[in-house]
Amino acid sequence: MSASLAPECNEVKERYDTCFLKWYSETYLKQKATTDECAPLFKQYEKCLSMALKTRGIDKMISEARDDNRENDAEHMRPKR
Amino acid sequence: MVKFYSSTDTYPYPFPAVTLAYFLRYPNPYSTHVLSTDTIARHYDPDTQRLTTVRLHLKRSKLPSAVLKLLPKSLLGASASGDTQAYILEKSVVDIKEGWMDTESRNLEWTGVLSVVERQEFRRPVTQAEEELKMWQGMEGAARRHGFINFGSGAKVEDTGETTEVKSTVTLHSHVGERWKQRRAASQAAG
Repeated sequence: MSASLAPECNEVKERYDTCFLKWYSETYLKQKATTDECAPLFKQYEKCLSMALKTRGIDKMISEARDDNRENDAEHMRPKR
Repeated sequence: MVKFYSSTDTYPYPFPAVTLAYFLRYPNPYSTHVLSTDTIARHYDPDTQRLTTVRLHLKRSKLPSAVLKLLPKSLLGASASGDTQAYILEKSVVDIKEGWMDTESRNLEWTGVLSVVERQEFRRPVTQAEEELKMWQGMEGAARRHGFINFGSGAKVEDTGETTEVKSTVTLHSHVGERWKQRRAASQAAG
C-alpha cells in the first residue's frame, strides 16, 4: 500500500485503502455496487489529510488547480462514444 | 510553446484488471521516486455507475542543471544535488458499465514555467469484436476436439483473449517562450 504524504494519516489511509480495494474489485468491477461502502472510512481519512494539507500549505494550490481545470475536465473526462 | 505527444496501445489484459492496476500502480520497485499517494476526493454515482477519483502524488524529481543555476536553492527547497519534490494531481473517471476509464495527471507547481498534462484513455474493445473473438475461440475449440488442430498443449495458461485499448497523450505547455515573444512584440511595436 502506498504511503500518505502525512505519516500521521497512514493508519486511517491504510484502513480506507484496504476497504476501497476490496469494494472496488469485489463489488464495483462486478457491477454490483449500489453505494460507496467505504465512504465512512474515507471521511476519517479525509479529516486527517485535509488538516495535513492545510498545515503544509498545499490545500490552496490544490483547490486552485481543481478550479482551473473544471472546464478542462468537462471537456476531457467525458466518454467519446 | 506547446509540445504534444500521442501513442496508442493494446494491453493484453481485460479492462477491469487494467483499471485496478491503475489504482495500484504505486508503490512499485520501478517507481521509487514516488514518495506518497493520497486520495483527496472520491465519488461514486449509483445512477451511471461512474467512479471519480482525485489523487495527489508526491514525486522526487531532479531539476535540469540549467534551471538549478538560474534559481536560488532557497527558493526551490532543493538539496545540493538538485533533488526536489513535485506534487502531481491526478483525476480519473471509471465507467464500468460503458467500459471506459479516462485519466489526467498534471503538475501543481511551476505551471507558469512548464505545465505537463498526461492523459490516458482506456477502452474495453467493442462488443462485436469480443463476440467475434468468442466465435473464433469456439470454432478453434471444436476443431481441437475433432483433432484438426493438435499443436499447442493445454498446459499453457489459458488466455481469455480480452484486451484493453489505451491512448496516451502528453501535452507540454511552456509559458516562458510566450513571455519572451510578447516582450519582443511589445518592443518592436514601441520601436
